[in-house]
Amino acid sequence: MINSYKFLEAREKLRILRDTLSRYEIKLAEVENAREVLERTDGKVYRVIGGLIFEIDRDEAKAYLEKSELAFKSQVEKLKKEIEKLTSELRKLEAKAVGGA
Amino acid sequence: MSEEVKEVGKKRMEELQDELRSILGEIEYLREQIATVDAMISDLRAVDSTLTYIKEKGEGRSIYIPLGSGIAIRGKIENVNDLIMDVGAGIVIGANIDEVKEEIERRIDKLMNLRLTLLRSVEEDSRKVNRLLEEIRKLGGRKE
Repeated sequence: MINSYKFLEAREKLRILRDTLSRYEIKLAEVENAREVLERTDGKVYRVIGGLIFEIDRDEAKAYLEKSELAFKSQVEKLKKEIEKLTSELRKLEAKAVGGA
Repeated sequence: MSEEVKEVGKKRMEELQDELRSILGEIEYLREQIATVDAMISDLRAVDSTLTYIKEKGEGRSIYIPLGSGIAIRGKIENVNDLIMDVGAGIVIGANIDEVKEEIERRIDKLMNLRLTLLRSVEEDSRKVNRLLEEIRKLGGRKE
């Protein structure tokens, strides 16, 4: 069993990163769903801003969703890389602790 | 049994127990996710039945519209086919009652598929737990 402070700290950081990734993946899925619904419907489009609902045109909605998608995708990629790096560091710490035990 | 062999057995036992704890934690998390999905499906079905009622008997009817905290204001349904639905990411779409009901069905289908995937993961993890328990039992027996 590995109980070093460094190991526990890294594991906690990894948990937080995974939670953040999960939140961004949900946001990304929401944007993709909104884009998909927008493609197959032809009703009026609105945007919720500060609890109020404003009518906007389709092109504006599409541009807004495209921009959001790009931003969330970039965050997801960044977080995945960080998780990969931290996981590999954790494995090294684990191996060191087992080897040194 | 030599001290060295005992030490190897102890280490293996600790590894197995760590793995078991981690999988049990995952199962608990998956079960919470399933409960959340179930609540979402149930909520969508409730909205669907309300829409069915509104479609049949809602036009022109006076109703109380909830404002929150148990407070409601009297209003009238002017047009049962003038609805808006939140599609996520801060976007809301205008739709008629049938379009909204179709969207609800789509969402329920997606959630049912997700539920199935989560259930399969629980089954897979439960099999892993059984394998680990078996190995722990064998290792425990060998130690004695």
